[in-house]
Amino acid sequence: MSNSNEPPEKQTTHSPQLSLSSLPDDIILKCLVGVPRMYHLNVSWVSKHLRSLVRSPVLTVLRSTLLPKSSLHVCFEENNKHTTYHWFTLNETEYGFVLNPTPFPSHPSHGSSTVAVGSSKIFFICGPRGKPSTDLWILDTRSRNMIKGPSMSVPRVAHEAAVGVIDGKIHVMGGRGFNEETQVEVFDPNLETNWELAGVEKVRKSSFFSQTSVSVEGKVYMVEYEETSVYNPRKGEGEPRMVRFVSEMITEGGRKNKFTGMAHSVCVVEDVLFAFFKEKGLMWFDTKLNVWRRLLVRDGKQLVISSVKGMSEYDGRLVVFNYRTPTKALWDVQCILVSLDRVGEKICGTIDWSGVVATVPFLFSFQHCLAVPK
Amino acid sequence: MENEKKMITLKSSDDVTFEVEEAVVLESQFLSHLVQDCPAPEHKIKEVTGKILSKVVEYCEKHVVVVVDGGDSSSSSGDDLKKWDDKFIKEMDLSTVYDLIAAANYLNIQALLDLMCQRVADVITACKDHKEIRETLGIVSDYTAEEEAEVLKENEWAFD
Repeated sequence: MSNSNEPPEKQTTHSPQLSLSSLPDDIILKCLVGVPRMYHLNVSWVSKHLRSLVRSPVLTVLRSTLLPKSSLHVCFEENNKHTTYHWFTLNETEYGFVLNPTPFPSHPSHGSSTVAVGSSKIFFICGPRGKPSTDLWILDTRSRNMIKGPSMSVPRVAHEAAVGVIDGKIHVMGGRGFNEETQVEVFDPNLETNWELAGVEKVRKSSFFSQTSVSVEGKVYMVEYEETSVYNPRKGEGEPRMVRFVSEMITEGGRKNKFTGMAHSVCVVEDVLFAFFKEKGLMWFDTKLNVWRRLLVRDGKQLVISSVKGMSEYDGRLVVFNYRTPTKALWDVQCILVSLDRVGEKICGTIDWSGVVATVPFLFSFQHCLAVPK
Repeated sequence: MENEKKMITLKSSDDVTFEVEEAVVLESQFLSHLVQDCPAPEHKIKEVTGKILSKVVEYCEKHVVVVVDGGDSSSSSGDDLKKWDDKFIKEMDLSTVYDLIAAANYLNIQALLDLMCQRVADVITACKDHKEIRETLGIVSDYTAEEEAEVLKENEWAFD
């Protein structure tokens, strides 16, 4: 780098306090694409200019072209025999949403712990329910092929193991009994080589309910009775990778209160962990204070969700599945789409749509709902 | 390699010069065309200051090296690059980010533009409310007092 001898041209001066508003609209829209949908309401209160951009159809188009898209797949088990599974995909029609049957091949491993990652793939870990297994099966939702992946070193019981994805790599821990020390194993779906061992951790995971582990902010969160554990593989030596918090929630008065509920279902929407507790309802986890907070509702629009079979993210929204009273030998599968608005430490949910998306035989039990990247 | 690396000189609006390899210049669509159409040894970029051009050059040099090294593609080179990008944006104040957005837009360097826009998005997301967004990003509200009161009333859940 050197200064030449020519006289400097007219200096391009900038005011020290440059504003976002000085950028052209197409660039501001490009910035807004990176802002999660749940913050859009907050952004709309900044200025009328930003409100018009955040509400503009151009942003909707940009989001749908630039952001990764997912398909929502739902899996039911037939007759509780752990052998036959039925898959459906959520589709939007002019009358609302429906679950259309999807001909994925049924396989006993579909009852195991699952995780979706990478392009169009679902990973089934630990094999069929009940007995310890080192199996990994991979379903390519595009070609609809099931292939067997490399086995883990440690046999684990599905539903007692915790599974999460960190930096695109699958982390599996536990599955050898409640609070037993077990190896953490890591699998890179891009390389599809062997599993790697990543140290020993104690995992408190009971098998009563379906999968209650997810990844948020580059960590695996395990939501359990009375406590939530967090596994952070980036922690170095001397610092524990597994940290536990007694479950606490913020009450109306702003005080912290312990609670002992069991999470029936968990999911992640825009990197925020949501869980449904039988007594407390829908809550989200504030990772700054490590406390649970209630999902708020707007005046008059009560968010009454009394039970949940499964939930997931769908297009930046929370989607909840439920069974309605059986009509003789059938279940109505109810689906509720909830849009979320976040302002600081508050998240408000609004029901955008709700209805019956499928009717299934009485002996179908709800297994998974997974947002699979396209 | 028999080909000697071709060097090109870029000169900023305030006459700071940078000597870079041709591969670095090719990261910018605008400069690629400029270099092809006009084979001069030195190119003046009137719209970009030396301070900002040095950042642009730093970014492009880093990204060129990795693409060449990544021929036998190990995923760690991608991870390293992401870490480098994270550090690159973390050290930057917002007015530099705005200037870099303008420069990346003008020079047509898509990856740098994406990176900087994501930084602005992350700053917006980290703000606790709309007032903090105004302060941090230097935005003057064009809501009238009445309109603002209306917003607060409609969204009591967020403000009580």
